[in-house]
Amino acid sequence: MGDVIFETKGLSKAFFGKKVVSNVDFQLREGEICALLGENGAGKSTFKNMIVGLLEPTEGTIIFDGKAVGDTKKEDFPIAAVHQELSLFLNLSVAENICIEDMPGKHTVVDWKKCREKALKYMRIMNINLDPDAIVGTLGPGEQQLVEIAKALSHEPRVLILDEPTASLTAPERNHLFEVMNTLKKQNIGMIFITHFLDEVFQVCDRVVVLRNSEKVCDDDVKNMNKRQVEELMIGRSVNEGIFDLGSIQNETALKVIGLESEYFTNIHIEVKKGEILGIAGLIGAGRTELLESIFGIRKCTGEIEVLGQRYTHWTTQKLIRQGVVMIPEDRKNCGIFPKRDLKENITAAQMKEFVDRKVPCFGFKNERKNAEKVIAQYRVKCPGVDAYIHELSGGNQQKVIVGRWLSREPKICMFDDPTRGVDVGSRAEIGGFIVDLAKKGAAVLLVSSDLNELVQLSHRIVIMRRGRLVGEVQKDEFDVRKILSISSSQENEGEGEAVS
Amino acid sequence: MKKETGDLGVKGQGIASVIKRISLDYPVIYMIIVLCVFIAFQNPNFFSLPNIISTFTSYAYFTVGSIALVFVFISGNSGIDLSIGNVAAFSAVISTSVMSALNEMGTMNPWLIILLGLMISVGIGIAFGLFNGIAIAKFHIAPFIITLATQLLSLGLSYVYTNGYTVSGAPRELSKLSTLIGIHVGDHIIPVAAILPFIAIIIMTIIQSKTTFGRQVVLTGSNPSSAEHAGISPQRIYLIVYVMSGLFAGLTGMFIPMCIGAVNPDVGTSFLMPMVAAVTIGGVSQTGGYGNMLQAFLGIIFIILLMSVMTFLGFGLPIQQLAYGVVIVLTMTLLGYLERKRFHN
Repeated sequence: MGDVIFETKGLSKAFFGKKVVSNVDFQLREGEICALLGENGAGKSTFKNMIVGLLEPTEGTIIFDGKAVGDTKKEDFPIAAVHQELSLFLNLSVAENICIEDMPGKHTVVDWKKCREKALKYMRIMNINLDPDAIVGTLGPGEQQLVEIAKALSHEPRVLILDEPTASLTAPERNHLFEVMNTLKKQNIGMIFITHFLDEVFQVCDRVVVLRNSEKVCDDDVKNMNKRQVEELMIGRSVNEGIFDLGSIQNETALKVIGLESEYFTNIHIEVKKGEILGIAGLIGAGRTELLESIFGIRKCTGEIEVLGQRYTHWTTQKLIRQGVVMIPEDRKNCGIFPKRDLKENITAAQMKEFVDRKVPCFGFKNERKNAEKVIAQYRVKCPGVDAYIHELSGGNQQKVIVGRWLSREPKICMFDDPTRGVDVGSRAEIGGFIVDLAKKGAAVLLVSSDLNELVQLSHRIVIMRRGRLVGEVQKDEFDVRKILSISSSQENEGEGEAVS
Repeated sequence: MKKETGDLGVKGQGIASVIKRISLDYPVIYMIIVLCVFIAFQNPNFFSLPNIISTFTSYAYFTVGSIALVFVFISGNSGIDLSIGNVAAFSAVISTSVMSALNEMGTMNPWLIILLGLMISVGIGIAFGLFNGIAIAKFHIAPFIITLATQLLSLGLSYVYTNGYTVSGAPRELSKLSTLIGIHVGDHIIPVAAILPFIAIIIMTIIQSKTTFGRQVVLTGSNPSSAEHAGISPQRIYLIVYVMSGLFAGLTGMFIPMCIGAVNPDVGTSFLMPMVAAVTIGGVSQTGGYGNMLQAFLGIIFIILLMSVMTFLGFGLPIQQLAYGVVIVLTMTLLGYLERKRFHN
């Protein structure tokens, strides 16, 4: 293997005094594929963003080819990244997308012929065969991923970062990607490969680096490691179970999902009893959010659901809300709050019918203010008053307003989609408390969370979703973060799921 | 306002904060005051009761037409209804010619004829509104495009139907509604035509602030995906909003023969842009989720005053157009700035 082309020394980053990456020494050689692993929040993204120059490190140096960053302009460093979210223009052709950052041609006139040649050149380097004139939107996710890599190669990088490139790929697409990675490897390009799927690490990588709680805890050759060791390194700490005192499960079924199908998932069967908290584990892109939104009637799907004994083949969000089903969405900003409106209206939004006069239909809003003040006090929202606009509050408080909006309806079935994402530690515990209290009052809860520890603490039972399928189920007494992580990130196809449950 | 950018919300009490809130919500008030002072110097008679009554009467169709736009704006989705002017004109053309035909027979009660004319006019308006609404809600066509199309469609229909000639001959009782029939105040009469727009504004205010539907429109405009998560169907709201807009266009169609007498097939073309200007200048957000009837009403008053000033200063149409342009550009810049400050900290 070649010389070291890239290294970091004592790289650290702190946000508001809290260290997110601390003291990481890292080396990458020519033609080496290095896996960068870690749980959500371990510091992978921050580390990645620092080395590509999106974030300024608080301490430490980044060195390319023996030259420290800061001596020369950042743009000159031969590093390129393929980020998790694709940055392609779906309405443009493959060639245009590859060349978009530096269109060939004179002055303002684009030389389309050169543009195609340039695109073909990078595709040849990768040894792939795509039509440069194809519109990117018509390609599959795997091909799009390859276009993204070709685009990154147009910077002529010597270091390439791949951030979860396989999350949305099928098995053959993934294998094709690995072939491309091996081709690039032969051309002495060093790669940093970020993934959650550990099997992939052992398939293509040379070296493994694991981050945990902002620190580097492992840096070794793949040959010296096995999957189990890596998983233990990623989780590290022992899980604090039983902080929350969960209530008992009643014998009555509250929600039954029968054979739900859509483009995001297939053959989903779930049953939740009253008072039960069912955790849904899975990686980002496994289809958890889509499943909840489909159950809630926001996305199209086929199949049946049974809500409190009533069976539906067609259902609408409105109907379910009236039945006492609520959902707290993951994406607060886009699906939760009503900007430009005050807290009163934000809180009332889901239960307007209860504030209107019964004598004159749809007329009233008399007790709205009183109710809003009650909700704000009950859910401990810090705000100047119920007339304040919602966008004036902090993220955690906005989330509490949304939680308050839904929970104050005393729901019978409640779905939480990553309720603590981007929420500070204090509010996190409070929201956890709200969820447990809700279940104790007899509500059935479906909880999706990317934080496995939270899931283990709050659930009676956990089902695991992987690439749109339910692949496993774990009962409370056999909760094991490592096992759950292993099932949700393994690559074997379905079938072994039954063995676990 | 510069000093307190951090707290543009409602905090605390006191006159200062009330004034601040009013300034933010209704900046058009200051413009109205400036215009009034100017008018008072130029033409003190303008503020005499008869003149005020006659101004409101002759612009009644304009007020009703503008109301149509308010919900369309608030519902978001880049909502706009460019078709109201010409749909109103087409409704007026058809209903007036039907009324005039029935009137000539001389056997029917004139009030019955007027009622029939109203039903035809409103029916046509609703039909066009439904067309717009379905195109926007079901087929996701941009409101600007589809209403531009229906604008041309209705204008074309008016021309084809009339061959370009003016239509008249509605029962005399109809024009009496804008002159003799009304509330007597001393020696003066406030005609029905001047009162009806106010009633419409009050009804729409109540619908917006006191009904679930009004609230749903506002919330949809504020954030359609949040609305969907809260069990509100944005598509349904868009449909209803455009049907309502069509309904008001139909009503406007009835005010044209009432206040002007004869109906020109292209009467709608000239008053569409001032309507859009009035609602926007009042402060109703075209991006949706913010705005109320009072704002629109103040905007309407401002535009009416502006039109009157132009008229009695003797400016011709070219200068008037120029003045609208200048005023709209300036106020839109100001309002855009205020909205940014307020809602995007």
